[in-house]
Amino acid sequence: MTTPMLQLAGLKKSYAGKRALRGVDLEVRDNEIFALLGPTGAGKSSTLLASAGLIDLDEGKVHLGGDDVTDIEPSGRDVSIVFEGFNLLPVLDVYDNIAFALRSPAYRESEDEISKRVKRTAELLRIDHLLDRDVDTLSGGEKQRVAIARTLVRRPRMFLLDEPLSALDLKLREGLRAELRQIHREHRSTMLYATHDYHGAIAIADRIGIINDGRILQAGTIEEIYARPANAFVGRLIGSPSMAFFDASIEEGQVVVRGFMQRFPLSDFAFSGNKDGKLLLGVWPEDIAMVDAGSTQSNPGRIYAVDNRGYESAVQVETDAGSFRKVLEDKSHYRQGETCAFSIAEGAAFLFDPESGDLISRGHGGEE
Amino acid sequence: MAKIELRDLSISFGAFTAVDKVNLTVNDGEFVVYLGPSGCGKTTTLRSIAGLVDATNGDILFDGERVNDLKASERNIAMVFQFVSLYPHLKVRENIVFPLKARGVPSSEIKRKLDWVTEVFGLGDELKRYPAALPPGAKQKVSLARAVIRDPAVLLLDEPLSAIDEQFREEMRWELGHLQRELGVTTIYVTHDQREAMSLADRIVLMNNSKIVQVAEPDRIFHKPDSIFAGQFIGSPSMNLIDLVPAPGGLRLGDSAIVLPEAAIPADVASSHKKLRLGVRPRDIRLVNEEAAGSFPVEVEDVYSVGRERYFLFRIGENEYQGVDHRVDQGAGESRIAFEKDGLIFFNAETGERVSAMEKAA
Repeated sequence: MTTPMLQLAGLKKSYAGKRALRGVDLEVRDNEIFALLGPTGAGKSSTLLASAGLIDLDEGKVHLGGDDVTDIEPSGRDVSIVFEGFNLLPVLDVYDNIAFALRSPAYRESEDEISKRVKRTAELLRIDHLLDRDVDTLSGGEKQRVAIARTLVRRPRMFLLDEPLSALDLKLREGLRAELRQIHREHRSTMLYATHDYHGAIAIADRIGIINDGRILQAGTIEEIYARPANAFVGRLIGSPSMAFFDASIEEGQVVVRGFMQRFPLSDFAFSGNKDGKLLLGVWPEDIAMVDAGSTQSNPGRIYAVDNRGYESAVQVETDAGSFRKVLEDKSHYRQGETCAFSIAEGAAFLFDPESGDLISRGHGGEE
Repeated sequence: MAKIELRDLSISFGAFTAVDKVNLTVNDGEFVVYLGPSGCGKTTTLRSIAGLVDATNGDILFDGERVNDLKASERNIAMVFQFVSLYPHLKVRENIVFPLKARGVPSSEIKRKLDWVTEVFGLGDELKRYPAALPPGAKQKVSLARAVIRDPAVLLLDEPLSAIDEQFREEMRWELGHLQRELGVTTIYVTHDQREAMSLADRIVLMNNSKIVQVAEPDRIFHKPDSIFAGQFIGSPSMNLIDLVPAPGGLRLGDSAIVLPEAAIPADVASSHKKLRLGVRPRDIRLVNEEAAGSFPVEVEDVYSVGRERYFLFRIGENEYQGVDHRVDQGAGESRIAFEKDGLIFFNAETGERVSAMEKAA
């Protein structure tokens, strides 16, 4: 294993007594795009700011390319950061805004080289026709692209991108994501990309880290997370639609869900039970099949809403023990308010602790 | 509830025409979604229906009655905005019944209406809480409950989900779809998010440059876009566009040597004698290993996972295109692709309008 590009160990940070980071451990590998996924207030921005050296940590260490940079100034870290806002310099035109970083005393590039790089980056972000415009005259989407261009024109050790696309129109966002991937493909640059958007994260990332309440709950490829979601919170944030959860309990050596015909033998989970027998049963929607009512081992539900998606449709199904959403390959014939039936694939269920949300065990032969 | 009609509606601000001769009928109880890029005129249209912007020309009718000269407060509309504006010092219950109290509705009637929205919206403990204690999605739900409690003729929603975190946004999208169908209230909804439009709408009204581009059911606008603009705006990832050049035996794909054979081209397209452009959605492209009929060689540049889907980028001639197929298990390199037969959409390259009358089973 080569040295990680970015290594965060035990980062802690409080703002006026409010704890933003409660011990963040994270590794971003050389040349990878790593998405940090979490809700607003989870600690994404603080993690990026700490990596860039823009906040003082209460505790913890930051390593870049194997070097301890915890006490190094931002300018000495050779990382580049894009914020959600624009931070453009209003008195300069687009060209000079992009060129600004290259003209700093730390780089001293020749104007020839600067011109070449500004133009190439502007072309990539399709703002080459705007180079002589004042930034005040640009639309929001154009400003955001200038801000991204200003970051990408440099070749730092690593890019830190904080919700860089969230203020943009959906279509522009999708286009820019593709462009970021292309930049990554051409330059093999390492990127840490913070977002609250699952679709945005999986569209760009090699690996994903789930952050909540100032801690990393899990990091891995999407396949690894699917195979073993560490916490119910991870299941709720991952997937399209996200994981289905049902209140469950243990009766006579089986996991039982109220209203379900299906039973889940405890032996599947290699789990002997917990103190009050209360559990949360989690299933990926892909492992739930909609079946004809009256099929053996099927569970009753009611269609809460139907969602049209072009090639396919999706339904939200309510049961006595919880609701779930599922994408249907064919166009749905279901109508809102109808009853329906579904079954869960054998061995596909996960058990979570309803209090902490932590994964207790998974089916698939119970190898844990 | 009411039927809403727009007849030759135009709205100008000085020399700028924000809405240009728009005609539309929204049926009683229908859920219509205005979709388009920023600045296309969709929000201005909504505001004119609400009475917040004056029509420069044309008529706005509620159930056949012209309302152009009625003030917003006289139109019996309810409007919900992107940013929730609940009264912070009032509990949720008081927020919801506020419009009824303000109109002096008798308390027995208020109670009946409150019981009804509590039931439909699935509100319980929330009623006793203050707005600040609610998650973002729940706040928007409360503002919706407040909007519909007085039986508006039409519910107007201006990007109601765009300020909400992705996770809650999806939650609320489902909730909105469910509630609108439960309530049966005529609803006009404005968004730039094609996913929201596809999932919520009975019909989508697609706008661009102050004009309506296409009005159709989600399935129809997706499978049968009238124009390149409609084809590209709806669907994710975006539709691929490939220039077609007449060649012996069919139409050549861009600057490549690949010829789309005559058998794959509908008769009305072949006989149109127009400069053509082909639209293919990424999911209508398959990577095939062997020399299957109708397949042709391409250079695959990159394959990557998006969730459980596999995206692949490939070149035809000088240009790069995208495909999506969860069955792809190969990497970059020489390969072959095939188009789904009913996934080919032919456009006039000059006007951008669809040429073929091809019907696709929706």
